[in-house]
Amino acid sequence: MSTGDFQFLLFLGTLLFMIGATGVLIRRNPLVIFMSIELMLNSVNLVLVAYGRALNSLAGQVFAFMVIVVAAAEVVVGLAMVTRVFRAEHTLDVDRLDEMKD
Amino acid sequence: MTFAHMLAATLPALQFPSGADVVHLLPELIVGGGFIVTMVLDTLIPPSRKSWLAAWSLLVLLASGAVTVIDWVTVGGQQISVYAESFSYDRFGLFINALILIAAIFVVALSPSYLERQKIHHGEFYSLILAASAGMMFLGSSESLMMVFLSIEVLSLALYLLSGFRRGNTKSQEAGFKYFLMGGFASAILLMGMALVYGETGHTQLPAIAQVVAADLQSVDPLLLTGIVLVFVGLGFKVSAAPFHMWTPDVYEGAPLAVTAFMSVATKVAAFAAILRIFSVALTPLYTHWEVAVSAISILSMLIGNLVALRQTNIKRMLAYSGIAQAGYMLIGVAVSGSAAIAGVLVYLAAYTLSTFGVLAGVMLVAKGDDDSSSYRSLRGLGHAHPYVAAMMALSLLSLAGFPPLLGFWGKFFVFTSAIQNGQIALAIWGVLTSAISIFYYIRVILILYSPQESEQGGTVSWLAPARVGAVVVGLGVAATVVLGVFVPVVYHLALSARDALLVRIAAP
Repeated sequence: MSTGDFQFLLFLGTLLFMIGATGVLIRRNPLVIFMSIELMLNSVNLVLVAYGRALNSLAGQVFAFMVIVVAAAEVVVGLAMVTRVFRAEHTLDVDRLDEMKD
Repeated sequence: MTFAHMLAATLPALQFPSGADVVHLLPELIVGGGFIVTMVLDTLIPPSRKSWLAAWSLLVLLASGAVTVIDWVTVGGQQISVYAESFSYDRFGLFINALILIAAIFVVALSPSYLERQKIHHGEFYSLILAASAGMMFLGSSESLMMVFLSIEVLSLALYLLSGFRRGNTKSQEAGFKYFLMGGFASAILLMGMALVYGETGHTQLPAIAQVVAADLQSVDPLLLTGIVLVFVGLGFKVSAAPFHMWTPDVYEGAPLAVTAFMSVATKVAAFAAILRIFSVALTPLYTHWEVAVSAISILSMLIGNLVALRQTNIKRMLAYSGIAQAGYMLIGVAVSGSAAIAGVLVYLAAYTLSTFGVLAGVMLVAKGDDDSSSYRSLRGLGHAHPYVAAMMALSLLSLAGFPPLLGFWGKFFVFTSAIQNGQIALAIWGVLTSAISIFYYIRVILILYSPQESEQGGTVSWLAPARVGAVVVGLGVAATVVLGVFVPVVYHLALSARDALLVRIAAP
């Protein structure tokens, strides 16, 4: 892998991470926020794998596998919570989940 | 280079689990295994006998505690790498284990009567508490970025579910959901930071990272610094330091009291263990680069936590903001980063665990319903109706406020003196000033406890008689705050040897 490829991958990973972070901050639908978090996690996978290849170390790849497993577990927990909140409140707008305030 | 070549180059470094590794991780593995067994037992035990699960979980936690104590004696001052430098087996990790186990044992002992009254006595509660404790204990011993990340996820996923444990209650659902979204966001940020630190140093193990970082101090890569900042932001979420604290009050208020009590103390202990291992040990060579950022976050946490706590009227929310402020005090110890400061933070963590738990456990003992019983108004007159519970809460609040000779005072004392010794006098003064503010809202709650009940509310007493086991356990915890406060050299000595174990590789590389 050439340095140019590596820099491109790093740039792409960072860009996807930024897009994901922006999505979390500006979107109001929890499912979209959740997808944005997944995008952030997967952009990190890209960065990890790119670094692993550039450094010739397997740690990056192994780390990426762990992230994939954790992301899957997060989906299981997260979707269950989304359905429960929807059943309780009949809305999926995070701005309207304001039962508790200072 | 093909994949096969890479694999061949890495294979010699791979070590397969040996018996010694398993033995060294025994306290963590007992709790982790106990979690899986509890899940199975839950399906076998009839719904009316769920308190058997509490007894079983207590047994698991006490067994792990016994092994922790034995390990403390046998390991001495050494630091032993476990599973190819994934975990470190040392007194620091065991100290953290002990604090987390104390919190978990207290919660499990108090829970059966509380959950029964709230009509949420499901077996999953105990398995999730064990899962979260296992994650926290692993986090305390983690010595590799991968394991830090995995442990944080194990404890977080369990806590998201626990926060939403009151199924019919919208507040609780909201709390779990908010915690999940914010926590997931924080984990992603933490992970990006870890990826950058790994990429720029070439290692995921903290000792190796420390060596690489120390070898090249002249030119520090901006990407590495970005990574370090992102890791700190991710961990800052977990200890709820300002400005990453937004989730804390809502989650603490919505979660069941038992969960609030557990996560407010145990999460903070575990996350501070990770912060100390990463920042105060592995990244000390770069101290000058992150010192200012950590000091700023510490100052901000003390300010925001203490000021906003003043105007709270719900004890859970008040303790959430007080917890933010306490995180600020402990971050002074990280920002100072001397060896005395680390011991100070450990004493502080012990004091914080016992005191915060004492306050919330007091409410838990007499709570009729979560939402009614945690507001200040409903706590009026508790001192006359249940003098024992009110006295426990009052002592814990005084300890949080830092009144000598309670343990909370010594936590602040050791952290502030270490700041002064290291020339960070401004931080120490700021800490003393903001803790003066904190006295107002702690004392306010004590005054409420001992004021007469409002007459228009007469007849609608919102508390129940405390369960006997729970009352004894809370009494033990509060007695420990007083006794350990008087005999503080005992705790300080333990904290010192935990600190020495943490720094053993730096002292003799």
